[in-house]
Amino acid sequence: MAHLTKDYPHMTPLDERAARKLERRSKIISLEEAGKIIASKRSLSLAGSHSADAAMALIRAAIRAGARDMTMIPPVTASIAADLPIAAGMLKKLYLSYVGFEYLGLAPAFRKAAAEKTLDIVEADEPFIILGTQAAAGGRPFAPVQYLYEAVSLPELNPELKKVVDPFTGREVYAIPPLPSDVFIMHAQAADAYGNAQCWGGTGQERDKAKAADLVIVQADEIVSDEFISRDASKTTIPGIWVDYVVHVPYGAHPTFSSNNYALDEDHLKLYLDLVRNGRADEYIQKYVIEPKDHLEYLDRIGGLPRTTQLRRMLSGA
Amino acid sequence: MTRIATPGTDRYSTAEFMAILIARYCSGDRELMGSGGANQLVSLAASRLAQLTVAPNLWLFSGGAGVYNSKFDTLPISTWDPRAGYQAESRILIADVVDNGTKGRKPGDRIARGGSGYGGLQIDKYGNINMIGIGGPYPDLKVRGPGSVGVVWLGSGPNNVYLEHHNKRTLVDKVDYRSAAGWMNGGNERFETLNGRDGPQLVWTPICVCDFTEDEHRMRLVSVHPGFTVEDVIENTGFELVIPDNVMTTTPPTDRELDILRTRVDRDGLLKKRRMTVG
Repeated sequence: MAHLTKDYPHMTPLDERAARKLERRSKIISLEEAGKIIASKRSLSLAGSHSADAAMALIRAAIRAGARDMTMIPPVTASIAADLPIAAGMLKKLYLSYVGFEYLGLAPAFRKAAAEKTLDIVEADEPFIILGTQAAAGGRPFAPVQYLYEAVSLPELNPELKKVVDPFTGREVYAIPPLPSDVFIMHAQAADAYGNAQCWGGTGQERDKAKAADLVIVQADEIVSDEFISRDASKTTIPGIWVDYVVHVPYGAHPTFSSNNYALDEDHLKLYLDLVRNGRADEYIQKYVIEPKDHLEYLDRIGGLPRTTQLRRMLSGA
Repeated sequence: MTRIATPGTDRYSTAEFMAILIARYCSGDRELMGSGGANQLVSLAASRLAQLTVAPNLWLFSGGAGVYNSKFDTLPISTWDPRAGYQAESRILIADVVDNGTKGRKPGDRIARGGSGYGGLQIDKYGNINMIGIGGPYPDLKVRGPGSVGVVWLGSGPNNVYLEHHNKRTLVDKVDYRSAAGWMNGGNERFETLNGRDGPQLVWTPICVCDFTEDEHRMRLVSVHPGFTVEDVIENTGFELVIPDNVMTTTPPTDRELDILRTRVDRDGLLKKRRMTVG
């Protein structure tokens, strides 16, 4: 005779359960805790575009926490968000689409690592990263593409591009592998304590990167109330249900641009480039990554309130 | 003979009772997903009720509108009703929903499913669901179903089954077609086919609550709602249910539960009017 042995929660009235007052749980953790979490993972993905909206505070925290030998799935275009981790020895492998500083020149730490063969570079491009991320986001085995890589050098240089037969036409096409990550880190202008995050810029890579990751950490310039978030649901880039942790770091995207919040710190980027190009990357890393005991001290070192106020004002053209 | 499923008292309706039962099931401080994709008033009410009382970390998803955590106090007529988006926290795309669905869940994933549930034209003793049609051979169907919508991917992860009508035409020995995989043909077949993914957990109906046995994964009676008997359940089920020796009587709703439901979730009283049937 069958016998029920489990606990069945539907048998206990809400009144009895509600006696133990439960609160909605905040996902806010400290920057240093977040850095340790990232450093404990093997692969990392990023959003942002060129020198905008990079999760720089989290990257610096991960370097401080000793992150090593990581694989990075960067945004399709990245400057210091990829170059600084390379300079700091944080990366073993990089999926490459574009790493550079555009009008400020090539990326110095990336070039040096490539020349010295200290970095495993996967010769990829925008479709490889975006479609591979989409495949991982939906748990799909690969992403097929056609009339693209057949005509270029990438398949010879990138062993992760493989041929597959299109079952509908019988033709060979290329397959991009899924690109999941252990952790996705993202800069947002505003987030609530429950993970609902607003990116006021962004290129649409954020959602797929979040879906493709096991863990999602958001750094936000500002922590807002859930009432603020609820004023316009369509402004929420990443729903809180996808987010594991939130870190509050005003000016956390510095020296990159934070969309509609503060401008690119071009002087600081030039300082970075100058030091790294002259073999003084360690000096930069010591001063701006390792030594500051917290994010506020970092902000002091880049010029404090006068400089951050200036960066905000630059947006208004005033 | 089909009749309205009434609890034998006018203190509450069967739909109100089911919403309260599912809300109780969601209790806890873990994060979980409660959702509805269509005219699932009971799922929506249950998730909102749970969120307000015993499950503060429940994420309420209104599938038809694509929004999380709306703050309604009157039930929308369906999840596509724009009122289901009232003061929502986020809006996602159907592509996001499908991605989350096809990616599936691994054991130990942060989010569990709680307040959500689905049903169909037919459900069998292993929890398989049919939305395609009844009869055959295909396409000569006696009843052409509406189609498989989102239940293929929903069924690829752990879920609960929710039925508004309990009768032998709906609860059948074997579904004519399978839109959502339950435990397939029982035993380990599902784990072997779907890479270890967990299957349906509970079945909510207007007259009882069932779950599935641990090894064979056959549907098993857990509790019978007040106003109905084990015999009512057996008589109106088209297959042999596992009947334990300690079947319980489902704990009826308390006045406090009904009060919160009627004043903070369903102020228009839609659940009082909702008709569910037996037989």
